[in-house]
Amino acid sequence: MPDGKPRTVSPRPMLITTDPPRHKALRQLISKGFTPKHISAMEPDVRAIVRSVLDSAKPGIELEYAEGIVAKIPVRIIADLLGAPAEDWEQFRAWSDASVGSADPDVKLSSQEAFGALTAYFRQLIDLREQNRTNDLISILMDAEVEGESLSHDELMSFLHLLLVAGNETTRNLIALGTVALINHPEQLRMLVHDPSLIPTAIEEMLRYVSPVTHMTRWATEDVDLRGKTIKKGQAVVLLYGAANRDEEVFGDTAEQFDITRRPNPHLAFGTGEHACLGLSLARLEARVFFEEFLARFDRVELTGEVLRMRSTMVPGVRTMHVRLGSANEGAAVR
Amino acid sequence: MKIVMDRAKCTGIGICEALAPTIFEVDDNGELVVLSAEVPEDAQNEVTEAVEGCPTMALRLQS
Ligand code: HEM
Ligand code: SF4
Repeated sequence: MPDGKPRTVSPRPMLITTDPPRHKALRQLISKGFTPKHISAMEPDVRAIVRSVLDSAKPGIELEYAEGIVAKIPVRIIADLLGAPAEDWEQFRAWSDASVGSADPDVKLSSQEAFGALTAYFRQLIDLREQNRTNDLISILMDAEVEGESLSHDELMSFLHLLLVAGNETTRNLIALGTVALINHPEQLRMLVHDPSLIPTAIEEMLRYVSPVTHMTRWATEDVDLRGKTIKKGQAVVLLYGAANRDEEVFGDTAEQFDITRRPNPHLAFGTGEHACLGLSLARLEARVFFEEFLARFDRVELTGEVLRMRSTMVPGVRTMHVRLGSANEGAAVR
Repeated sequence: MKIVMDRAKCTGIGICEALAPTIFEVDDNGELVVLSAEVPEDAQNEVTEAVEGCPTMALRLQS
């Protein structure tokens, strides 16, 4: 258990660990790129990426879904947003995996090594932009100023690391475990196939039920009374999003059930307050487009083996899951 | 009902806009614009959702 003293764990992204007022100034540097308008404008690109990945998924045969399909999507989108060229996207993914899944023996690089490799790579992208700015996030951050000062090299790096890591594992976890939830609730899957207009509420329910990020740790800045207990100023608080998302005082008797029609659904999967997930509109867009495209092609999906999870305490995503997909179009061939 | 917004609290990613696009809009500078401070009759539900959905409690309704 944490002893309540803030400690420096390296490498640590900084937007997410900076207090106000500086936090707000930092966040404003990039929040413009994440507004609903900007994110909706990305829909055609997101759809093209999703389609190209799904084109490789054939019905009727066993295939690996987590690494083989889902993992390819968020990393391409985020790498594209940052300004990394397409040929580097797969390398990006390996580094991102290693920097959160370091406790997983199957991920060969240590998180320090992955961090180092990413830093060197970002350095290259920055060097390329020293002469010629482009209109990607790296260029925007290179020109950005907070209180009249541009970002230090370390700040710029930690921004880039945060965006990559925060935008990748999380979305991938939502889509993979959201699919598992649908497989385990066949009646809900059928309902969704018949009525794709339920996809947005289904995604909110996946966010609640899966809670892709397990926790954040924060330190109380003042004494707080909560359900008869006092959290003292300076104490560490581990916010367990999954527990909040099953709170029967909020979600009632059905808190433990997966219900894709649930409304209202005030889950906290994206956190809340000042640090609430900056990428939530993008994550929602990716998940919506994914399920629209996926369910239009495949109306049946079954597990053909165990779902293996990453051994990570913060974003314990799916490492591998084998599935067989079925589509009405190829009729009796599957089953 | 009127919408009252606290700019100091708003972090401008537009969860309100996603829930009630006819009432809220984050502009190109990342600043939230309340398009209609007076809540139209037919938009009460979505505005209430937006106010409740704002993660920083920057929005409030006043009768
Ligand atoms: C399903 C997908 C995602 C989930 C569940 C998720 C969840 C979270 C959570 C729980 C936090 C911390 C909130 C807090 O401290 O209260 C967070 C912060 C953050 N997320 Fe996400 N996230 C997702 C996708 C994304 C994407 C696609 C991006 C964008 C590229 C992103 C960027 C960020 C950033 C930059 C922060 C830090 C914000 C700050 O400290 O001000 N996230 N996210
Ligand atoms: S949801 Fe709240 S914080 Fe976000 S833009 Fe709207 S008012 Fe601002």
